[in-house]
Amino acid sequence: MRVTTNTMTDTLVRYLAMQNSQLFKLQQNISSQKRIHKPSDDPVGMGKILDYRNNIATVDQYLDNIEQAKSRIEFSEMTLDMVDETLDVIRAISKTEATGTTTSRNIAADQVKDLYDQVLGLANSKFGKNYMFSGYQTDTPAYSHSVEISGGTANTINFGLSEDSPNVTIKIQDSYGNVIRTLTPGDIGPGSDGINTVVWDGLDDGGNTLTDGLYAFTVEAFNGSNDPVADYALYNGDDGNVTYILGEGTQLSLDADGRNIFAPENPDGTPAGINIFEVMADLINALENDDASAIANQTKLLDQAHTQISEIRAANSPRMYQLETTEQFWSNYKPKLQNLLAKTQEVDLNEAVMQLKNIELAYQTTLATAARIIQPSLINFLK
Amino acid sequence: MTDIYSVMNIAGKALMNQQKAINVTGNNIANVNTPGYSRQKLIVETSTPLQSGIGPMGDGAEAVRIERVYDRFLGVQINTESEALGQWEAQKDTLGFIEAIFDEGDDFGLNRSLNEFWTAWQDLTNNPSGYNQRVIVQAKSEILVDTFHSMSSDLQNASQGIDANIEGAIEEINRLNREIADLNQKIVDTESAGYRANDYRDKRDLALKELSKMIDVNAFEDASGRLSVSVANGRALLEGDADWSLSTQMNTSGTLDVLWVDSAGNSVDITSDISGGKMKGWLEVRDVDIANYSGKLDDLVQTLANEVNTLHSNGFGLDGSTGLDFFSGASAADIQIDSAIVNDLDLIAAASTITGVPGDNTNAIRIANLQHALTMNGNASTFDSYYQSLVSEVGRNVQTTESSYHHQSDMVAQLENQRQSISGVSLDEEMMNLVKFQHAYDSAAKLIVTADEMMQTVLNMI
Repeated sequence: MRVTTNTMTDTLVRYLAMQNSQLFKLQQNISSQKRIHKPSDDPVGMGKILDYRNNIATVDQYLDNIEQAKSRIEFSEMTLDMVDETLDVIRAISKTEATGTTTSRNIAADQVKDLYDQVLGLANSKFGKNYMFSGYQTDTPAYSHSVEISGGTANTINFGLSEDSPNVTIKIQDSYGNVIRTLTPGDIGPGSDGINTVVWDGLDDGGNTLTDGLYAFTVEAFNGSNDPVADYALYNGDDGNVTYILGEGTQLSLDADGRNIFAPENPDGTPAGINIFEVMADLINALENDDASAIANQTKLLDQAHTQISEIRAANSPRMYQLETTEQFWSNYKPKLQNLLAKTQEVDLNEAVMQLKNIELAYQTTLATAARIIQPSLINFLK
Repeated sequence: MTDIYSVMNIAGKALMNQQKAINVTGNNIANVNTPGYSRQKLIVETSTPLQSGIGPMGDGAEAVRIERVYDRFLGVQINTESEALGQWEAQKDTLGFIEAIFDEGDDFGLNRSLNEFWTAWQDLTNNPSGYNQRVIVQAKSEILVDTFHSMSSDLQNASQGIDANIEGAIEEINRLNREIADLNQKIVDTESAGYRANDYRDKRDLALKELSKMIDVNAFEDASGRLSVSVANGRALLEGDADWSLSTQMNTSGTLDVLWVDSAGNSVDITSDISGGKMKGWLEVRDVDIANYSGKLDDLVQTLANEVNTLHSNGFGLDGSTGLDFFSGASAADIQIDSAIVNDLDLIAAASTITGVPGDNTNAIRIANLQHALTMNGNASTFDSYYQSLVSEVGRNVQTTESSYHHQSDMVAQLENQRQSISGVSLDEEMMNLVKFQHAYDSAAKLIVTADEMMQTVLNMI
């Protein structure tokens, strides 16, 4: 083959360009420590990288969810512990007052009223901005005297009484605490021991329709001898639960139905356990009425209430265990994914440097050859 | 009979011949780097000898013509391979540009937006009535939608960029065609007058090679030396004295069609007949690759919107609203978050029943679980894996065209080397020729001096 000057220069230029681009690529790999910069560097590897990254981000989210679920259980545990302690105090009072005097019972009644409020406050605990024990009704306190108007129609007013009361007055308040409607004994009729239901037309004292929303109310009840009767709040929530995503296809539901803690019910609505608020109201009433046998009765019921709460708390521990093992699983899985990602994505530095050395050598050799061959021509020798 | 004059005559012709040879050599040296130049050679033949009693008496040599050293078969071969090279080069360059649209290398892309969209829904399940969580769902959806928009418009822009290239190439093709027509005329004029049109032919070959890079070309030379050129599966551009031209026209889908226009202005759409050169590469990327990527992206968007909407419209917002779609639009270009939802985040339907509002997160869980649902590819892959395989496909296409391009460019380089080895100018060779011709010239001059001296001797005899 006849080799011309241009054949040589063209070939040299082509090889130099090729080696330059290989050098550039290796240099890029080494300085970024990454093997794959764009999909065409390794199409299959790129797909894997995207998948690993996705999995890592998703695992992070699972860990986040688990953290939330754990703190909810912890918070609920803390709340129930405080409820339990408060009930202990009440039980101690009822035990003492079974043999107390009228004066001491009166003082004790006030004390129990405060403790009632404390338990009520705990039952209406919020996790974040949501009521914990109201089922799905996270914007409604679990236990309170409140009535909702929705779609222009008022729900029935529900409340509990600890004794039959011929004389019951209900005062409905707006969100500022102003009384806007008073339902008199004439409107309501006599109240009975236990749960009472009153129909409200949803109007204020002036006969105006009220806007949709939640309205608090107070109950004032008096028995036949015109002594005040203790009332208690009923459940406003539903049987909803809170579900957390722990993994692909794995969910954990936590019970958020406050009734299971404070006033268990059968599906048909009949009591299936101790109504803690009723017991407290009955105790207040018994203390006020100076009724020793009723007081002693409540002491027994309060013992059962303790067991009721302990059972709920016991149910939390296997859930916590499940959360912790799942958390551990994901925490162990994540570094494995990161490892795989690194293996796919990152450059093997030793190998890259070796390659660099090889190409460098080839490049320098080409340059040296070029310098030797291109420069001289016949002209240099024709003198 | 021979006489001193005939010696003088032979020497004179030799002198002239060597001078011409040096001239040709000089021209070769001057054109050593001229693209498309074929080295030339002076053809010298012995003059008809004079018959004498002792045998034929040489009458020196005669320069008959200057030839270009050229292999016609190789020229055709290079043109054919240049068509393929042009196609792969155009595909490699445009696909490489499009690859950047799917560049997930630094973890800022659809893969991430999609993932963040799902995790935002998971976040919402942790607090279905939370305003923050709702804002995040909206924000991440907005990012997702924006990512779809920008990918779609980037693909659209790539397609328009290709159209701009096509338009430029059409002008170039028409220009080269006119140049060939012009050179045809010059070659015919020169050669019919009995001369050789070496340099015009070199130029015409170069123009034809340039044309081959642009589009598939078929060319043949008729007896008069005129080159007929046809493109795109036999559409004549140049035939005898008549010529046609190419032009473009916007079609209904907003891309350019290539038209073949005759001198009367009648046009035929030849877009699908183009089978080589850069034009083919660009059309391939525009009508096959970009269409494929956009189609898959649209499929992804459509299924995503459908699946999310079906679940969302069955759920209930914080205000009890239901039956509301989450996304509107069904393609990457026009997908949006429903405007009602953007205006009122309470409308995001996290609950699955009206009574479950606000604490029920069942519907949010269902939507978050779509991440792992086999919804794409005939229920064979998830949204994430569908997009991941699309990215792989994009990378694979670039890789394939790159290796095809390199293979093809090696091939053309090889053929160019062969052309060089036949037609290329070797400086060493030319220098040797120069020395050779110079010596011959010196000798011829010496011959004249000798003849002159002989003449003097004869004259002195008188």
